[in-house]
Amino acid sequence: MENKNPNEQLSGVVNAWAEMQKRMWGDWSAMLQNLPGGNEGPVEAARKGMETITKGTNEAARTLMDRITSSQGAMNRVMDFFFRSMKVVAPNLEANKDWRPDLKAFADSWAKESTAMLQRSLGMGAHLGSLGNTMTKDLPNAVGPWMSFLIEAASAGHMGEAMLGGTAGLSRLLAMESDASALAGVGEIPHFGVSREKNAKIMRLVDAAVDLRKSSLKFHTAFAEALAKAVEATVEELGKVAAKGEKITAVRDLMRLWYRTADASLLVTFNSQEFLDVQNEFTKAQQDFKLKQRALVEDVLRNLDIPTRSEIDQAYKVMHDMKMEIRALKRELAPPAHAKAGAAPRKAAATRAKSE
Amino acid sequence: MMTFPIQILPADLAAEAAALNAKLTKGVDLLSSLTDEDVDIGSTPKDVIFEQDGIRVYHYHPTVEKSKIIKTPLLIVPPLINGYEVADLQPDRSVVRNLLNQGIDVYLNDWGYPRPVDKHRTVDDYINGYLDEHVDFIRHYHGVDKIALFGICQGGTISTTYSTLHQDKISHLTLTVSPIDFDAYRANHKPHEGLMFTMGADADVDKMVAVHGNVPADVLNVSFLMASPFILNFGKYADVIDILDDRPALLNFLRMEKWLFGGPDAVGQTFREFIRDFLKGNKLVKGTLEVGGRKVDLQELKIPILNIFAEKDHIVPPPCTVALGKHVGSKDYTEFAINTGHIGIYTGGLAQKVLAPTVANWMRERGA
Repeated sequence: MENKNPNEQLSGVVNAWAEMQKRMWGDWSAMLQNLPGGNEGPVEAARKGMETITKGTNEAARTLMDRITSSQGAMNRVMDFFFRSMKVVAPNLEANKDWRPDLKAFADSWAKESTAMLQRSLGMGAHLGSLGNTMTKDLPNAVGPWMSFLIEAASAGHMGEAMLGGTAGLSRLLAMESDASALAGVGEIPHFGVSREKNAKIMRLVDAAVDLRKSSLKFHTAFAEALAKAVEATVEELGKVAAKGEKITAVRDLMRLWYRTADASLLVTFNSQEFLDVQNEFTKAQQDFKLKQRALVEDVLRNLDIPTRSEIDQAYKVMHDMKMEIRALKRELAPPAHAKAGAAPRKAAATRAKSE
Repeated sequence: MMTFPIQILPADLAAEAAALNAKLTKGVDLLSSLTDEDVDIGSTPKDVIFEQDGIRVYHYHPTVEKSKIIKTPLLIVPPLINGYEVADLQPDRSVVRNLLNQGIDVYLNDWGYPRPVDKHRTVDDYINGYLDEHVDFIRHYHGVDKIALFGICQGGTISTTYSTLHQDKISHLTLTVSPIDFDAYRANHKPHEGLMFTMGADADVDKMVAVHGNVPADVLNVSFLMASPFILNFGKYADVIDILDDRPALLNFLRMEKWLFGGPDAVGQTFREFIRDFLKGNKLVKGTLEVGGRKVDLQELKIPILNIFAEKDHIVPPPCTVALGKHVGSKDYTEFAINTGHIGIYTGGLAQKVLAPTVANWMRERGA
């Protein structure tokens, strides 16, 4: 039976939507209870279960299931947002009143809420976390084998001595415990300690992390505003549906209308110069952060005599230039014969051919 | 008083959930039975006739008797940033097969998957190096002085540049949804068109290449996904549940996904030059483009050209492709529109019927 009260109707839909999710993933969870991930919630259980079930089968099929299950969580959040905004506009829409002021207030409050959430999740902590990872996780992983070597080499002294440039242990090892000191000079490693230059690189990385935090918040706030506009467009669309006397009776039809309308609205925003500027600022801040991070990592690697990305790139460039030069010379020396029809080039070419 | 249009009853919702659940259950059976061979793309029989630096040239097996084969061979040039398989997604959606069935002798350039060591390759390396060598090899292999080129999207931009510089080796040039004038869409800009170009024009490509080296395919995909974020990220995966129990439909979907997300990274230096000179500088139509120290003057391009575009193309808007007609010196220039989208021109139902016959007839009429 048709429900005339929009608040009741929407509350019913929200509750039923939650129940539907619970049942759907609950059934899956029960079915997959013996599979990994069972204790991490139904969606995770389904995802991990699917990985297990489809293991050894086609990669595209596995990826698809992963996308279906991963998009489920995001889809639920989007639908939750949508239902909340609908509850705000429904009474006014029903009464043929202007619903925009209420929606605007809801969108503003939602954008503030989202921004506050982003401040918590994407704030300084996250980028400093990345910085911390560089210092405590990535670097030890990269230099681990060298450090083990150093520890062994410096075993006669202590690790701190080796880190500060002390080479007694290393020299002893390279000299094979003898008095022959010809190899000892090789063991001289540069100072690894803190210097003004290194401090400056760390500070530049911290600056980049702060810039990234600022631009990240700006971008996500712009995105939240874009979503609020998308809701507005969807309400307009629902108004058209109502004006035609039509009804939406299935959740997936509602989702389709929301996705279609939201996409059209977002595309307009994404093409605006204002949004592009914010997006570019965010992208450039991410890139700057990566470059500053690399500068610091390369400094450490260089001191440990490990090839850096920049040095490898230089080697690649030399290889590329030589390869192209050799090919050009080869072509000059033996230009391809432009065989005429009737010649028998296929035989010669067949030596390079292989069937797929 | 207007009735609020959302009228979803709990009982309907329960029924909807049960139906979805049933489809998912059936879908798992089907998905778990699929193998890599089932989701194969680029499967039309072929030989590798040339291979260098991970780049290959294929020669496809003919499907018509020898007497019906057009004597001028045709080399398909795919884009550098997408897999060649879009031209041969599956047997019933294959530009390659359709061209073979029309009696065209088909070769294809597979640019492969660039490695970090390849990051310094330039536009000149691709055009005057690899492509020129491939064209020479096919001319020699086939015993002809000239061959025809068929460009796919960015591959058409490359083919146009190549043909302008090496006109003595090319008899016919066919382009499909190929960007030539990267600014042309701005004149009458519709919001859903050209987002990729708009984003590219604002990008700091030097920094991008400095960070990534070769620009990852996933980074390039962002601008594609942003053109329809909800539908492409959520909607289509919700809708696919409807076909999870339909093996042929599911395989079609999976092949497209495999192609879409399995593309190569963009070679760093080539990407930098392409964005700088073609997209931002729009030098091809301004007449200021130089490749390998040679000026590329489209007025000098005088061979027959068939320019095929998609009327609903929001990635390469039609004005960006048909602009070629205003700039080339060729007196034999033909445009052909297909009522489809950017990818649909290779995989769509209508394109399967009209694209290959149009190319074959056009070539035959011009003595190929």
